[in-house]
Amino acid sequence: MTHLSAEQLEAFALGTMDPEGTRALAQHVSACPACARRLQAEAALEVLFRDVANAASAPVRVTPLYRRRSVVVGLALAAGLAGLFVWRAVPPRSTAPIELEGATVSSRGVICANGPTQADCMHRAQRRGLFVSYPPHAHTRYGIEEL
Amino acid sequence: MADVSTLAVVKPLPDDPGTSRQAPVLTSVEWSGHIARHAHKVTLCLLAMGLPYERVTELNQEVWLKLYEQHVSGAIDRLELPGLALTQARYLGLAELRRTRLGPVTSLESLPEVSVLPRAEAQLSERQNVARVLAALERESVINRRVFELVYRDPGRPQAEIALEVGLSLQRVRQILTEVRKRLRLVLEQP
Repeated sequence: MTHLSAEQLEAFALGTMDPEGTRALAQHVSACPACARRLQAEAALEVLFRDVANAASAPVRVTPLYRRRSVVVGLALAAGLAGLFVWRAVPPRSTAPIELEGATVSSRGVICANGPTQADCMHRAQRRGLFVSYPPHAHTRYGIEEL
Repeated sequence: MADVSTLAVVKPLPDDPGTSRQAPVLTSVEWSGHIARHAHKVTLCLLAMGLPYERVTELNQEVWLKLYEQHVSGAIDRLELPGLALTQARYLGLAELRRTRLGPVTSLESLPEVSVLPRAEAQLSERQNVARVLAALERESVINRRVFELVYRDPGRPQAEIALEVGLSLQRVRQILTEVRKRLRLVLEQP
């Protein structure tokens, strides 16, 4: 008895076998337990391959960017840092009269003198959006002219 | 294999406003089309369960007959194929396995105790096999993967149509399929 070839089993599994070949296969497996088992194994393999193909082409579940906590937190931090940078680098012009104890105020910024009031000077200057620098080389390093 | 497309077709029921939820009744030609497209999947599903081929062909007929009767009687809201046919096939296949393995039941004591462990182990092994083959498939070239996925995602689809879609000859598609199957089979044979 000639057993079923691998090509025949594959053709059957893939559904490409012609009706005559299918009839011959059916006749053979009814009398050959070994080939009947091989056919079952081939069918099991085919079912597995379908599962694999479905798993491979399954759509990946994507969470929208705006719903990801890490992205939201990251964006908030980035926005905060950018805001701080802009605030520090480009202070808004203030037209209000400035009175700062121990400070030298020019049109481009404030130099807070060394001493007990320096911290308070810096704080108040920053609240007004002014560029703050420190003596003794502020005027040379940053171009702030002392009044 | 017995030709399941020659099933006797039950005359469709007349339209009834009370059964408007049910799927529209299909004509015999539409049914034959569904059977021709999906009967082979049912055959493979039953064979994979370990049933003998001759019994598989009979059960395949039964699957479609039951589905048709349920559809015509309005018991099926949505005729989703091949899903419904495969579910019906698994149900009939399991019943057949129970019947043939247990034989006639004379008393409850004669039945073996049911354990969920073997089934759970089988499912785990099945999942592991899918993962192994999936990993091997990802090592294939893009065109090989594409051919494999197109063939197996919709097994009823003619391979000539797939060849046209990927821009290859039918012979080349079959060759790719044979090569990929061979490599994937080897992955499963490794311990």
